[in-house]
Amino acid sequence: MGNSEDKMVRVPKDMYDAIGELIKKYPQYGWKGPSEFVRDAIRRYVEELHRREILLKRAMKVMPGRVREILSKFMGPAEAEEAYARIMEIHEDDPEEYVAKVVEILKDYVGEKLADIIARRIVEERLNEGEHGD
Amino acid sequence: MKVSTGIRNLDRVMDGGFVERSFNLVYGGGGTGKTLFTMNFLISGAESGKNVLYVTLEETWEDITRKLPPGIKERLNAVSKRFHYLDFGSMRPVLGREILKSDVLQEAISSSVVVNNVSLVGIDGIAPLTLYYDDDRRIRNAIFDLSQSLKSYGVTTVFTSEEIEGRSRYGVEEFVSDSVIRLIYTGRSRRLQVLKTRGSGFIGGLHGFEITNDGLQVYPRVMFSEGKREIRAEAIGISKLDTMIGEVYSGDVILLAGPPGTGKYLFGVQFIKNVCSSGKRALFVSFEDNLPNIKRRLMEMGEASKNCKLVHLDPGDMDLYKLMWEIRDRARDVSRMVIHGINVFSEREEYSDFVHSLFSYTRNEGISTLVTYTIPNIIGTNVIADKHVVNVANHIVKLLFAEINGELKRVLVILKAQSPNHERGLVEYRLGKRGVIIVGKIEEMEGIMSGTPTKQMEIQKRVQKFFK
Ligand SMILES: Nc1ncnc2c1ncn2[C@@H]1O[C@H](COP(=O)(O)OP(=O)(O)OP(=O)(O)O)[C@@H](O)[C@H]1O
Ligand SMILES: [Mg+2]
Repeated sequence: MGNSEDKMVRVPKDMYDAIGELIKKYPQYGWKGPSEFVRDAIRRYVEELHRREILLKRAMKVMPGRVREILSKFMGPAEAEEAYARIMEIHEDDPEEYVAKVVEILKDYVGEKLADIIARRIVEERLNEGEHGD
Repeated sequence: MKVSTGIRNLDRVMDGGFVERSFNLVYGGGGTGKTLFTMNFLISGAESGKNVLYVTLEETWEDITRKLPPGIKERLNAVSKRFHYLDFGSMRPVLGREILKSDVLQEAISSSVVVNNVSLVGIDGIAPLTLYYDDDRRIRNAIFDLSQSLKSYGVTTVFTSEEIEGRSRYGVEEFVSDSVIRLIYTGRSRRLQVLKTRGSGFIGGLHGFEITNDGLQVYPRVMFSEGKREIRAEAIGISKLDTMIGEVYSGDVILLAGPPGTGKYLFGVQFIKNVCSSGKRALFVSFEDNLPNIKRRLMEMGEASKNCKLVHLDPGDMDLYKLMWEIRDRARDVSRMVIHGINVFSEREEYSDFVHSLFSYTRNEGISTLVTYTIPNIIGTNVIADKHVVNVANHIVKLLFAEINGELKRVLVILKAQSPNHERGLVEYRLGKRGVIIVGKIEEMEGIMSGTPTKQMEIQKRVQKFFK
């Protein structure tokens, strides 16, 4: 069980109590005590973060094409192509930063608020897909 | 400064068009032409070199362009470089109703206005705004904000809304609009009505409105005249009848009413014949299919020049507002005109406008006009014509049949003339190869107007009394 390398983590009392309740409520998960519950939760959360990052990266990949599609419907192919070309010029690895830069370009065409809605929507589409698919 | 509505005659109805930097409402029921009005406004603007922006909130751009009449589509393609659009219709399912918030709309529209240097905007179908705004006050505020923002960019805007029970959908759009235009389709005819313009006059009432392959037309219920009238004395061109009627002046309206078979069109042919022979132009408009006869009669009278224009217009379903503008177009350079068989329209709703407008136009332009009117009863009626033509006529001649000494004769009586000395008696006439021949007065009969005369000298008094 325990290991000399193990470290302690603090949780508030009500959270600790809640963990106890959950263990009782869901015996099917087989948590043997609060520590095992916390370890399981952390493992799951790290996985989730990792998955989100993959999806965000994937969203980044589809973003130029999807923006082109949406703009082409919304205001015609000329503007869509122009915006696409500008977005393809972005060099940015961090997903958050990347989306911000896309919005910056989009806002020249559709205003800041709609640019934000479009970018958000494209990311959401990926995340939703991730939830249902994979 | 005024901005064209895209329809020349509507510009004239609205004292030049829309006010520059204004926000204008066009409303009407389904299929009344709101989308086409907006498209036509923008395409015309683009044709005159302006950059324009069409914003659709309801239908998709694809649907709209697919349904465009072919001629309008061609015009659109020709100006596509200056024609920009924002298709909220197809974005709503993708991006959600959030995009209909007025600040989102405003930003999107103003971005395009700035980037493309747009000066005319059309916003088609504001109904979806209700998906976001649930009460009238908030819709009104949203529309007001939109109008203010567009004005601040210096653009002139047309926006459309649905008509519900005779009013625009929310009953609030009018308040924020600088002008209000209503479109109507009765199933038979299209009408356009200007309900308000801020800061300038307009011609009220229902105007004719037409959607064609190439664009939109408005036929105002009153006709504008260039007013080049110069008054000159004229001769009708039937010897003896001229002396009987007295003075006739250019621009006068002569009403010739009578039952079928009294030779009304022959009077018409003679009315224009001399004018054409003397080198001036005349127009014969017939609502009966009888042009070959008219042509033959003209030839028989020795008139073969191209100065006499003959047109047959099929009364069918033709809208009278359109008709009067069509007549106006064809009568541009004529000094004389015959309108043959105007009675076919007397039951139409817009008839009184038609008569009034057409003949004030001919009067102002100095076009002398002979109007024929067919009375259904052959014998024995006191009916002259309907009150509208009677009111506009300067001279009224009634034609009738009368049985005299066992013979059916053609008789005319002058019921009204400008000259106080006009002939008041009954006059027999005949129809010959060379036209109408006046035989002479019938002196001693009474009761001719009823078709069964008896001898009497007092007929003159009767006629006078009848007319009063
Ligand atoms: N080529 C054409 N010639 C004559 N009329 C036409 C032609 N094409 C379309 N129309 C008429 O135009 C009308 C449609 O116009 P439009 O789409 O502008 O109406 P609308 O008021 O925008 O309708 P809605 O309320 O459905 O949006 C229809 O009544 C149709 O019959
Ligand atoms: Mg429409």
